[in-house]
Amino acid sequence: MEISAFRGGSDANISRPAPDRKGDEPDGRALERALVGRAQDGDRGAFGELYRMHLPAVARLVRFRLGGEDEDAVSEVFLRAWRGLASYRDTGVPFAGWLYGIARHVAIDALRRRGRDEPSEELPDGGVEPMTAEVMTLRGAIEALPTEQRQVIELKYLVGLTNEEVAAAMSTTPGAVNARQWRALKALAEILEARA
Amino acid sequence: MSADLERDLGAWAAGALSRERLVATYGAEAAGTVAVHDRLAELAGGMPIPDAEAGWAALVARIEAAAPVVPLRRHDRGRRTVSLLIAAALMVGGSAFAAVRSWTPDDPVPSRPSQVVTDVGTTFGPSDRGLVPPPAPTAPAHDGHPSSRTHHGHVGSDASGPSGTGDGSSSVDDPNDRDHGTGNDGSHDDQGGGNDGPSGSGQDGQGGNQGASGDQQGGSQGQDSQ
Repeated sequence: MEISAFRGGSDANISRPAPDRKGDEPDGRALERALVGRAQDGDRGAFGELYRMHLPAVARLVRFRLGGEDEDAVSEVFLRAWRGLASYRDTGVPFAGWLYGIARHVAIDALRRRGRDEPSEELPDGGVEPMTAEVMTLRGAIEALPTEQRQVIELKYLVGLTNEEVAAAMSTTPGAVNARQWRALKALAEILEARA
Repeated sequence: MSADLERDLGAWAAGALSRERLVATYGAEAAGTVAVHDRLAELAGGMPIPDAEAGWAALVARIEAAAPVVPLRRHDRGRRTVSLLIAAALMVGGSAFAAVRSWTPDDPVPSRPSQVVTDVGTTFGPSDRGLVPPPAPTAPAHDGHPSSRTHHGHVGSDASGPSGTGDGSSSVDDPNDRDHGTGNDGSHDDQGGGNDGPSGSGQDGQGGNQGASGDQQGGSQGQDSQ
């Protein structure tokens, strides 16, 4: 998985993700297209392969957005994807980008059900586990970013798309994605430093 | 962020530039950015992933249990407006048609007040107040019915005599009635003022106060259309 290459902040080449996601393999896109086509024809097994392929990214995104594990929300993302599969058209946007849009809406709905429209940026007084605290800290900073920069960060780090895939999902160029990414990171550094 | 830093961050991401060199070149500015990058990467990589098979089984159960999705039919506003207008026109037209069909010129007054009052008395028993049924429905005016004369006598004066008594209630109508129920009759020319007689002005225009006997009541209200 591409994200795993980021782990540890090493000097390793982080542009070439580890191929633990089939969509990143050389023929991954072709395989994904074939699975999507079969799933659109009603092949539940093909959709199951897509589920296993994209579950980590969707789970990360939902967890990041909701601040904790929510299996129902993750399941809801794929349920909506299954129901809306006929509306998906492969126009160069990766299937993960389409799922990302669904996941965002599911997370928003889940937050509304919880009675809050915006994620809280304050940590609970009772204390939280370190991972949750880090999620809430970073999420609060990311929410302060402009929309395009926030999307780049989420698509790159949480969904695990490459610059080319993010560019296709956002209808822009890989160079523009790269620039937005580093501007977003610099802005995040300033926000986190100001809040520290 | 300078263009050089942005370019070198991209180079570092591509593995063409080491972290140490990047930080040494740009100092804290690059260090802060790289640190955030590390935190995000570590956070994403450290998130637990739910069990795929268990999740898939739960998802299949939801898919199979899901009710059939009925797509929303969204009409555009123009079509909806036209539909509402047509429905309203049909409703108004239908109501008008039904009213015309059910009405005939010979239809009596639809209510039956005397029957209603009788029914009330029967139902609730006698009362000290003595319910008096109102008069039965009357026919249109000018039918010679006494009630109509009595009614109309209040607004005019019956000039039965040369001086015009103005007492509409006790008057006897002239066979050559021309007052159309206003109470003025005869050869007077008081313009409805109720005064008539040798000394009446006939054109007093002030409610008939100049007659010989002076009509003080009926003439004051009468405005004969003649």
